[in-house]
Amino acid sequence: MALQLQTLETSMLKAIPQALNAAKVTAGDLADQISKVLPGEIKKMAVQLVAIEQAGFSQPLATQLVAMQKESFEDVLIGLFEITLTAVQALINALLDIVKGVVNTALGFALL
Amino acid sequence: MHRFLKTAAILVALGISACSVQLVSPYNADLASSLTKLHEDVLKMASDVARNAANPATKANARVEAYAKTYDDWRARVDTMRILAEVANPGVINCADLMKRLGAGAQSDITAAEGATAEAPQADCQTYLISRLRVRIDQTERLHAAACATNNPNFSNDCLHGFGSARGVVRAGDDSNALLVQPLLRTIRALIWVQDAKKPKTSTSN
Repeated sequence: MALQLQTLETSMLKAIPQALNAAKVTAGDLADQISKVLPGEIKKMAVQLVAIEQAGFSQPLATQLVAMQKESFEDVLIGLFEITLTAVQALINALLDIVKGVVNTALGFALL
Repeated sequence: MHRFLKTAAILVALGISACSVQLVSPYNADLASSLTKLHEDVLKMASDVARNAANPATKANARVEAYAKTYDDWRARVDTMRILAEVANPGVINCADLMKRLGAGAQSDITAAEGATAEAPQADCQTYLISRLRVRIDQTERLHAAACATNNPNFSNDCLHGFGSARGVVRAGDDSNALLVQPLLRTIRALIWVQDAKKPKTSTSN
């Protein structure tokens, strides 16, 4: 079966809601992950910074510990970046699956 | 940003021809369980140090020298985790470079001053984070050495309460306990969340 431009265009336009739904699911998952992680870590860090200040640690120890707190919070942000990339990857692959399905259906054989 | 968009466009184009893209390494069950075990072991070690430090008869056992094997074991486990991460690294993202551009995660004063480096060429964010976890272990060991030295005049606050319950602190659950290991625990947690986000979703519908 020859690929008709009109057929492909119509099929791809029809797939837009499906693609938007895939994007919504991925964005929702990402928002869930971030809301699960970030507020808890901010609260923990605030509690710990106050505790370090009150604990009577030697000055050099307290200074080093505060610096480590900052670095480990950066680690959380790096982790969230990796989680974001994971969600972006899932979204791109979901969209590619939709394109693949539409093209293959329009062609009548598995090109992609 | 322009370069990032260009890279994204190339990835999408490559993806269409390959039918899928891989920006991040997949979920790894071994890595996930190693991280959970490490988190548990750090908490156990902190309790053990605090217990030794609390008793004058065992106070000397709280010194870092008594835990040398523990720190070596953790480093060996993290190095193994790094190998697992490197094997699965798709090599698309250079996380250290990206973080520097974003102004976050750059080598800090403390890490730089210690001559340690968490950077790795073309490492994805998971591998980069594991490198930073190793630095966190080294830093914790140095804190331990300073806090629990038997000649530390502030031993009680630094060692006993640093690894146990901090004195004079408004209690806020476990978050304010074992303050000296909390940054290390946070980095481990960050990696646990990454694995959790990558874990394939199992369908709950019948």
